Amino acid sequence: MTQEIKITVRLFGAFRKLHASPVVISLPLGSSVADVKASLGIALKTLNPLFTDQDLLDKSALADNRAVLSPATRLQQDCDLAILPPVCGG
Amino acid sequence: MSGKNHLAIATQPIQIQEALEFVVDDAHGAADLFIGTVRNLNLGKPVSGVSYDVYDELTLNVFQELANEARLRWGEKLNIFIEHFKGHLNIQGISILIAVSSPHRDESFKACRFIIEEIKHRAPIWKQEHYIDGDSDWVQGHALCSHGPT
Repeated sequence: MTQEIKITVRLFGAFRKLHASPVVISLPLGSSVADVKASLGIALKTLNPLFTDQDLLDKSALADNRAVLSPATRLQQDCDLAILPPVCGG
Repeated sequence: MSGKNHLAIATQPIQIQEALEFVVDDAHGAADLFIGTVRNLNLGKPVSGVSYDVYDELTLNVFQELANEARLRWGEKLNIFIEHFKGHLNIQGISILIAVSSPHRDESFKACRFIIEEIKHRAPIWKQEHYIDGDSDWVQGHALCSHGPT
């Protein structure tokens, strides 16, 4: 049986209006950050059918508390991530 | 001796005097302040205020990286103060304050400019503009990318 990991994704910026709390996704152990992003898109469309902005998702990055993650990074355990739309601080 | 940092996300009004008092140093002959404020117009649309969203943990990491990079380029002695606001601000509210001091003016001018430009591209911070007509919108920004081997 394939072992699964639980990924909790916090929403920021323009994603906040779609869902009030973090989105929890289950994926096979060793899934990539790119896999998380694809699953997040499906989950967001399920949670909020008004979400159609694939371009926003494409331009967004996933990160943990320390750094932005490469799409190729493989996840080996449960983790907390964040989806980050293009930034505009200052 | 290396300079000192004050790196923070503010949820109360940012105090200019506090930044200046933090960076002043008997051995420093220059201090630069950059103050970012909310303006009343963007792309021709009248603005009534801005809400700032911040990923605190990662933003503070980015601030630390920028302070390190600034010292590598302009000297270990820099004193660096960076605060970014999180929450709602009305017009003229202070969204960011950067203060840098150094023994001579050139270093603090350059380091201050470097830090604000990099924050705009690298810090996970977003702004939602609120318009006079009651509408609001998240401002388009710069896409983040990973820099490490992970």
